[in-house]
Amino acid sequence: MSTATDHRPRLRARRDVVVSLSTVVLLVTCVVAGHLFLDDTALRPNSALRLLPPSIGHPFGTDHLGRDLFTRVVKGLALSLGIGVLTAAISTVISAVLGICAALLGRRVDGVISWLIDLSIGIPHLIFMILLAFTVGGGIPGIVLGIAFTHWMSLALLVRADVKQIRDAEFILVARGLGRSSLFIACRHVLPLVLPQLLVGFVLMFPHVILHEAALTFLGFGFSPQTPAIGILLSEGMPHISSGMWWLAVLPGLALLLLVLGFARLGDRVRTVLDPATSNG
Amino acid sequence: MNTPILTVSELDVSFTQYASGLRTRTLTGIAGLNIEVREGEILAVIGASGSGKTLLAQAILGILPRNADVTGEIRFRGERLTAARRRRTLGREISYIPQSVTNLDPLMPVGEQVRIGLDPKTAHQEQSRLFARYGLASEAARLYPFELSGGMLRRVLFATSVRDTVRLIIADEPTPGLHAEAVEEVLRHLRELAADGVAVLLITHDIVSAVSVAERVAVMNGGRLITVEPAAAFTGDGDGLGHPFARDLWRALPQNRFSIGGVEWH
Amino acid sequence: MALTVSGLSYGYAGGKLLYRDASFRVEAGAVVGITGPSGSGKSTLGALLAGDLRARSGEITIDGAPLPRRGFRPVQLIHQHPERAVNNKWRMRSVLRESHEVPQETLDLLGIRSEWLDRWPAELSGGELQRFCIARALHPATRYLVADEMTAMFDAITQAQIWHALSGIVRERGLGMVVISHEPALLDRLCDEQIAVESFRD
Repeated sequence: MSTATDHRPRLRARRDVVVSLSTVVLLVTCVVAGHLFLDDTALRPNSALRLLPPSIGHPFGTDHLGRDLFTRVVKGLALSLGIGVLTAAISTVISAVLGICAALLGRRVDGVISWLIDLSIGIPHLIFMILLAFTVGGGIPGIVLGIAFTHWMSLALLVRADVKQIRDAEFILVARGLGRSSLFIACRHVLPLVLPQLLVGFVLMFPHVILHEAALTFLGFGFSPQTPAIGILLSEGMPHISSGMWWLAVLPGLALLLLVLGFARLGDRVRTVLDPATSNG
Repeated sequence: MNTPILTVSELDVSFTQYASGLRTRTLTGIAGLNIEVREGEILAVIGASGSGKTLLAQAILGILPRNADVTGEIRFRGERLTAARRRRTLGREISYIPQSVTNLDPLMPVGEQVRIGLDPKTAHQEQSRLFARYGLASEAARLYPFELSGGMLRRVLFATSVRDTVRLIIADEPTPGLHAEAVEEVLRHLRELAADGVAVLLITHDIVSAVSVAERVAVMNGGRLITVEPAAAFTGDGDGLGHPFARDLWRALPQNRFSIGGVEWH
Repeated sequence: MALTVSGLSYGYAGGKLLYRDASFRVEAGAVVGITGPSGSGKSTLGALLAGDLRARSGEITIDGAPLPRRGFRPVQLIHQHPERAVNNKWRMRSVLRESHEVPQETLDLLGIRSEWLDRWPAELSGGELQRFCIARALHPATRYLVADEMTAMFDAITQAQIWHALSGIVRERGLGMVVISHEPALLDRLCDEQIAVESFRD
């Protein structure tokens, strides 16, 4: 019997996508607007305002140098978002190129790329990342490359498996018979078909990237302490938790969590809509 | 011999699909179909893929995809075929012979599959009788589907579908890709069943086998029933066929004129 | 001028040989039918002729030259299921252009309406799609066509329409054609010569 598909979970997932997309868009808009319009004077040290708890004037309180924590968190998240987009994009491109090449260019290329994937998966994540960031010399390029080069493997494997399924499709055999090159087939036939997979991969990579950026800066491999990166805020705030100044670490942490969960949920929902088989919606 | 077993009146089947975003669109599968199968009769339904003939079978059996909307009436032996009545009659009075032998359970010996739904007391006896009827060796009962040849599996399918209580058989493309001899065997079994008084609805795109086995042939195209012709009219040049579409269809066969409309081959 | 198969042997890994030492020729301008029950290796032979598969041993030559490994292949295969042979993310205009700028005359002969060109594959019937696949295969450099159960999925009228159109074009261009089908009546109509694929078994 032909498979009868129930469309209701898919419809529900579509509504979920709309909801989580709106959440994410709202968050991102707030962060970007805050980044553009919040007054930079609030970031200047002011000894009169040191370590104030949250209030109307300072919703997240102030830090040990009297800087407004809310402004710092918004600036930090804006930086995270920027780095996130750039890194996830680079990582997605690497996955797409290597995944498609592995599946399309024959056994030898596949062997080399599979070896590279296994090797990269084998090296512990964080150490590899720190080494890479160190080699490039810290700062934004260090963080971006460090994270991008350690996060492409699983998506590359997915792309490779997807392309393997369609590479012997009749329309691709026809294209070869008509004399079309592998590059043409990769760009015109294969890429549009794996694009949804890449999109989901990109969105799902995003929260990872933001978390790792925070982790790297928390550990001190990244920016100078003046930069309002979330990781730096967290590492500065941690020692103060024990002395009762909880807002210094908790509020930036919650803001980061909200953003990360928003993106993770969005990616998950988008995947359900695009491919109901891989999830039970 | 003339009691109607299956009566389908004003059947409409349509599908709701997602077009883009949350918007939906409706596709018509079958529109305004009326058809009747009588006791002891083989009615063939022919049509190209997409003509709606398989949907007709699915509508009768209640196995349409969930996004299908069905209106109209399907009556079995005079009574409306409701979901509750289907549960009581499917497999006992109404039998389905599917398109492909992959519908057999690969993990169950074929004898056991034939015994499903039989009275447990007489099941073994009945199964041996069915095996004998379809020319299957009794040792084959213990074998799994992968151990049997395609032709034998087809006979097993018949044995699983046919019960003494059966009044209506729906056979959906029972002869795809089979060579002439195997097709003839399947058709012979259908003829035997009809001779026992069973009503047979044979769904196929093979005009020649439809004509050779059925009394009447219903021609479907684009979700509509175009015409019902007596099978005997599909002969020679098809001059006896009432509807021009049926005539064109018959004459377009390569063994006939291989013509299109009035245009002859070569 | 012929498509020549000599000493061809082929079998799937771990399976029996489908053909042993098969040899035949298809003259330019001739129509040769390949018959046989399902599973006998008819389609595999079509894929070998078109170069989608490589033979283990034996040789396939086109007008004296071996089948090219890269670039356009002068033997074009038309598949049984047109909906699998076109990318469903492409409009029909692009599907044709992947091959060449198909002249209006060819489109007319095949009964392809100009409004179909802007449609997606899902918006056409199988018979309509198959006409596009045929137009695409009729590249100016095409010398031979392999039609693998090309009309098996269609009703008799559509089947006759497609063959009427294609055989006219094939005759005019002097193409050679291999027709793979399980339907004897169709092959009787179309072919100058018929070969049973079982005859390659031993």
